[in-house]
Amino acid sequence: MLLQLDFNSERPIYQQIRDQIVLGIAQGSLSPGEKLPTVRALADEAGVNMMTVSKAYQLLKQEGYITTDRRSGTVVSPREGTQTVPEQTRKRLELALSELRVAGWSREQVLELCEQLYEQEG
Amino acid sequence: MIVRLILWACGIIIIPLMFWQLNNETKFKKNIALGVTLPYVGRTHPQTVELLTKFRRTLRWTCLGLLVSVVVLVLLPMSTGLSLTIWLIWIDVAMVLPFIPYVKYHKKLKALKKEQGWYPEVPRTRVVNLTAAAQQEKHISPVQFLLPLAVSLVPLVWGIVQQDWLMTAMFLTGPVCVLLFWALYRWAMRRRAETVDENETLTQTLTRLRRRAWRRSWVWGSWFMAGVNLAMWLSLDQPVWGLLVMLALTVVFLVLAVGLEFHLRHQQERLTAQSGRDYYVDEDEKWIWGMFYYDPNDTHLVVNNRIGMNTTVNLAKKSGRIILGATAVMMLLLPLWGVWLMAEEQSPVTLTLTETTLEAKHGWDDYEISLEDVAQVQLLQEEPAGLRRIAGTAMDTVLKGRYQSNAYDKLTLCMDPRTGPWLLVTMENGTMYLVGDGSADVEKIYLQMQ
Repeated sequence: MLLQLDFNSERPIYQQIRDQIVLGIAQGSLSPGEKLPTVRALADEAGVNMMTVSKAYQLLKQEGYITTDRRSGTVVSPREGTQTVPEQTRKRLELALSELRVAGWSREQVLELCEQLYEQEG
Repeated sequence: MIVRLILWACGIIIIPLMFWQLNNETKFKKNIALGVTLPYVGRTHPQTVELLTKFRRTLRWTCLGLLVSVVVLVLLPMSTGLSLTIWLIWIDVAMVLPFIPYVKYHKKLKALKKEQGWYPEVPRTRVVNLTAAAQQEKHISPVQFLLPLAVSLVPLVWGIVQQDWLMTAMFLTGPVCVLLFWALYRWAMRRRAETVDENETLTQTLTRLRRRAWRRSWVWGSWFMAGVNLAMWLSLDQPVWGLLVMLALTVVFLVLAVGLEFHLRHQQERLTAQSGRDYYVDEDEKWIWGMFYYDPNDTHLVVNNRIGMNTTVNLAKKSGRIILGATAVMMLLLPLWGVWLMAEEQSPVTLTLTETTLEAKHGWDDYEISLEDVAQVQLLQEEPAGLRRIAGTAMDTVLKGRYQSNAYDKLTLCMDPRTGPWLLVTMENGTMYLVGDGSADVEKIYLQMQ
């Protein structure tokens, strides 16, 4: 799986790493139980500070997308285990819906868009 | 003349090496030619083909011009010092000149890319291969480096046992280089994966091939250094044979290393021949003239070259600029070595006798012989037979430093070899000096010392 890091973006790099790993899990590019690189290996590959990768991994761990254990390292969590919506995701969704409402989108249009995107994400 | 021929024979190798390397840059590898990344459609575009052909032609003429200059320069009569100065200037020119057409055509190809809009869909991002980063690195057994290290240590141990500290210092080079190569090999193994497009298998294969080539180059380099150390030690009494063995080792290593680089380039070309049709990686923005890496967002100082197995430095880092600047300055200052040699060549040997010492001087070197410790003085009308250098200078106008001869074994020399006689001074501790300034004063000094 390839990550695309945009250093000109206002979104911090750790957030970009987190987002794209979540996207990878949703699209099936990263399957449950799949091993992720170590913090050092990913920092080396990306040419970023180890702290940046560590921060992204911590966020993913808090949100339940990945688990770390001493023997197998960092792996993608089983999808069934993450049924609860993280608080941050709920807030972001609320904000996105508000933006669409202000832009004049109807309930049906929003739901249709959501359905389309959900199908795309696999 | 023979020295000059050997010198130019060593220098002339640069021309085919530069030609093969730069000519090879016109073949698309990882979607890159002349340091410009193009999609599949751009590679076969008539304007691209035309630019690459023109570059190849200009490169051929440039290299041919350099070859002709060698023939002219080798025939010009001149002293060793002047010859070396011109040779060093020529080396600098030969290493820079072929890059002028490279940069010219790189810019033209880049302009064509801009004109045609040959850019990937997601530009200006850094591509990070998560899968490749997750793979375990395979390190080779330490034995591969320990064996050449052991071989290179043999002459060093001999030097220590003999308590010959000059030789010990000389033989230390081998083990130090092997250890350095080992460290560099480990360091290089942590570099980025070779991501060209979304094909994971291609990335894995390219990364594996590059790492294998890199590993081999350091292991072979270690054996080369061990071999050189061993050859120097075994040929202490036969310096000509030692030189020939070292030359043979250098040729073998050079052929292997160049072969390895070109084999890897060929593999990169073959494996990525069909790439660039959909998504492909384009990092041209980070490469100035296609050859200097500049990325302020990259924490790495040393990065992989995009083609072949070499590495380069990140010029966005201060240390990177210092390394590249220092290398450039060193290259530009190389001819000064020839100038220094010319000064050495012109400088006369002087011999002075005072109440307490006999002083032989040449340039910066001063050999003071205390008269109190002199056991015997002989006047030699002819040079000792089988005189060979261990460490020092040997020119038409001066011989100085540590030498060895058939009759007297180890000697310290400071003499003008053109005109005798010379003084052979034996000290009470057995040390021997052979001195003479090529004037008639040598005989007077001999009589005074008697």
